[in-house]
Amino acid sequence: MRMPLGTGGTPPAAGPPPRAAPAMPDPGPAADSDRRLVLAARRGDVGAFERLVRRHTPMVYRVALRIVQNGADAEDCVQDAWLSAWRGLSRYRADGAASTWLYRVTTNAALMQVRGRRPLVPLSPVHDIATAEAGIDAVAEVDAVRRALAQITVEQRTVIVLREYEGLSYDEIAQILDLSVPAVRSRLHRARAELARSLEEWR
Amino acid sequence: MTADDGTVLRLTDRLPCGTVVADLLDPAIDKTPAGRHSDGCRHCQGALTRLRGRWEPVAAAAREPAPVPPGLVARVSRAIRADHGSAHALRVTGPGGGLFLAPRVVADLVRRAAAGVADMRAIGAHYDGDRVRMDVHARLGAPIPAAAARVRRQVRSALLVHLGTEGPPVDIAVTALFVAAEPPDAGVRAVTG
Repeated sequence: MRMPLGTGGTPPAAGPPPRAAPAMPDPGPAADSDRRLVLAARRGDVGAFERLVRRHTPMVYRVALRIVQNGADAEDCVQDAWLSAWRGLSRYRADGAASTWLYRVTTNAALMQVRGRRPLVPLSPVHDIATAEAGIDAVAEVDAVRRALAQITVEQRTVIVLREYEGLSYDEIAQILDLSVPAVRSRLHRARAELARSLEEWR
Repeated sequence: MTADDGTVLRLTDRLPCGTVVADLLDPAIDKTPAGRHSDGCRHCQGALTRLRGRWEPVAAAAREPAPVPPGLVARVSRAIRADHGSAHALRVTGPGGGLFLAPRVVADLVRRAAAGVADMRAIGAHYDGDRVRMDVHARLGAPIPAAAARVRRQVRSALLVHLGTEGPPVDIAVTALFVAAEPPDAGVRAVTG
């Protein structure tokens, strides 16, 4: 059985701590509700799909923004992802988690977006208030992370976003990216090492 | 990374105990056991602590919120509804039969036609079977009505070429401003038919 998002999976011990915004609704009633909405949408209920859109666009936008590193492109990506989800409802497996399916269409849309365009412009600060309160050193460090994230490959950035930003387990990432868990481990290790090296360069 | 004593720790370094620092990276970040040796080794424990500290800015970056831009959910809903039914297709009559364009195609043509207009960036377009609504970002300081007029002229002329008609009226909604210094990123691929 599939592990709920943000918990369990591999490795079993503590993964990254929960982030400020939960990646997805908690499993249980919300997950069941998601599944019901997807199944209703598959029967042609547009209203049900729109409820999914309202519920999950924060996640879709957050992931897209961090992968594509640009607000306008992220908005495009969100629309592409939802249209892709809408048109691909028949491919949704009723026994699978709706959230995994949505992460998959989101990352696919973001990857297509980045692969089809020119080199990245690093993401500008999104939240001046939050970073200003954190102090100048913290602001500089977060900004360095942002720039370093823009420098690594989009495949590496995607696993970093799913793991470090969304707090997903290795198992979940493997399902989302259609990779084996060892392949996720390997890609994540290379991505982390690359990011760590990039961060050193900004020091 | 530099420790308090000034020493630099690189991922390629080998600790005095023989452990390569890169091998501690994942356990440090995942906060999982690094293995029997490392769990009891002061060199490994020191490196793990430094690696965790070095990774803290990543965690801080991950905590930054990313609020959904205003209007995005509504644009998605419109796109889905437009995609759901083809009742709102644009019909172009001509000799030999009718030509029907799906709302998404109409929106795509309009959005692409507007892409090169100075002082405005088309963010998304939606055709409801009657009118096109285009969401744009306008350059701060530019005369917005004039820029909007340029968008409409360019759209009309492009649709004339593509469809032989000037197409539906185009309503322009300015949803944000940008400053000229910002990179001229396309940001203009959203199409909601």
